[in-house]
Amino acid sequence: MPQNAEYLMLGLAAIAAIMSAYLISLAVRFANVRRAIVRAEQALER
Amino acid sequence: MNIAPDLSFSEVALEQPARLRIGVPRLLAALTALTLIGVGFGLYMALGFAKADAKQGEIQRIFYIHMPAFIGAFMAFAATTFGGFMYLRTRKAKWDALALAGVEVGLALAAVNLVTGMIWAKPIWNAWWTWDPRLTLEAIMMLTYAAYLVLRASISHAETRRRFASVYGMLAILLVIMVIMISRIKPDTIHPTVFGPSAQQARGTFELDASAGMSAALGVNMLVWAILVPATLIWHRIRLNNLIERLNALKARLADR
Amino acid sequence: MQTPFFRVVYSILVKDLQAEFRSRELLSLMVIFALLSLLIFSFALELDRIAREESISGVLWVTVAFASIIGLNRSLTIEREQGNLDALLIAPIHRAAIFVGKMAGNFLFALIVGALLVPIAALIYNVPLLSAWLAVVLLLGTLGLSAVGTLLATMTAQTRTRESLLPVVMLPLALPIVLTAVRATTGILSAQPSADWLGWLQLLAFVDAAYFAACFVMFEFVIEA
Repeated sequence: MPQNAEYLMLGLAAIAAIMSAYLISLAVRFANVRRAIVRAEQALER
Repeated sequence: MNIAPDLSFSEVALEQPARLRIGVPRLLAALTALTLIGVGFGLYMALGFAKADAKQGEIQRIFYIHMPAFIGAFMAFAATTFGGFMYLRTRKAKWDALALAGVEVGLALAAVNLVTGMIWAKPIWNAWWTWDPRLTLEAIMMLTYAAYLVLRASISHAETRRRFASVYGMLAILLVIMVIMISRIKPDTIHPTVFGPSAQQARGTFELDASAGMSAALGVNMLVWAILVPATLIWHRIRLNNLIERLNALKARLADR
Repeated sequence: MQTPFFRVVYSILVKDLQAEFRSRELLSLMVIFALLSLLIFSFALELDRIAREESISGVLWVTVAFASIIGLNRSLTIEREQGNLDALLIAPIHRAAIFVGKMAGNFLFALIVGALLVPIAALIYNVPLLSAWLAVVLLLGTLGLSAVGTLLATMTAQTRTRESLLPVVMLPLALPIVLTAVRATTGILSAQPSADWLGWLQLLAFVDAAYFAACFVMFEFVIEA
């Protein structure tokens, strides 16, 4: 059996990297929007 | 289930009327948890439960995520197509939200498919990349939906943006279908087919040996990466869109004052 | 009471052809670009004779694709400057007829450029390029490019980035057209038995039909408001 387990590791790392990148981009955008909503609602109350 | 009995499902999932809070709907939280568990279980099945392929070695295991990711991307892009179609028919913004979510999630999953494909190809075919129809056209699919995002970014007027994006989404899925057909009709490719006829030059095929747990591993990961992951991510992305809409409405009210 | 479909198509086509006949700006733009493209390819690709023969169909079709993008951009800019589109939209005519009319004009221009390109490419690359089947591929290829190009150009003309956007959105969609056309062209030029490349020609025709149908149906969504 050919020894290529390190490619498997690379593949798994790539999957983790790509999915994390998207999840982080989602999380950051969520946080920004929530913060902006709170600020806008406060501004409206004034 | 305390969501809001007088609203339709698409309204709750896609629109989020103002009287609902910003919390995560319980259903989505449950789905997210299920997806995370699924990913973990799928990894166990792929890495532990299934036996390694004697000819290809450990790298073959990446296939259990590689192919489901492609199907998942396709599902996401199908959601984009459906959203675009429904938007052109009903002109309700919520369908466009679905379309946009589908593109983003689809691109992420297509990237997973492409990169795992390349990483698999290196030890098996001894090349990071070959200009063979299927690999090339997978790249084309990604570039097409990237172009979709560029198109959206270049239109300031919201209604025009949604309308044009819907039209482009229909053309994009037409492209994908034609590309799949072309690669089936003209199989001068070294991309292995696990289901269906394989060209003579195809190297790297393997039998789905059910007794070695391979079909089970593939089945579980198919469920996770082709259905759960796209559905969860798309739902989250739609919620983000709804929040942005809410923010824009607030800003408009502020501007009016 | 709508004007008959083909009369609309015909009058739009005639109007575009007359305008072009007077100014000749589209054709000269496209032809000069095409020649420059051939030139730059022959410099950029340092090829021996065999490699040159193999690359000619690719060079040809890349050039035709980019030349049609240039033509489409210019055609839509002229349209916008003269306000023709608004006048057409007020008239009681079938939206799709506008599409076919514009597409026919773009198709003819691209076809003319392609037809001029082939003998010149034959000269520069020293490859025998005359063949009846080649005309068929050229026809089908430019047809597909103009169909999808006319719709996309009409879209991009209304965006912020205008002309710069058209290559980005059009090239991915043009891929099946270019792919099948190049394969067919290569087969024809290297005098392979028709059984080899006829399949590619059929695929190209199918792609054309699919794109034309889709753009025909969706054009009305692109010129609303």
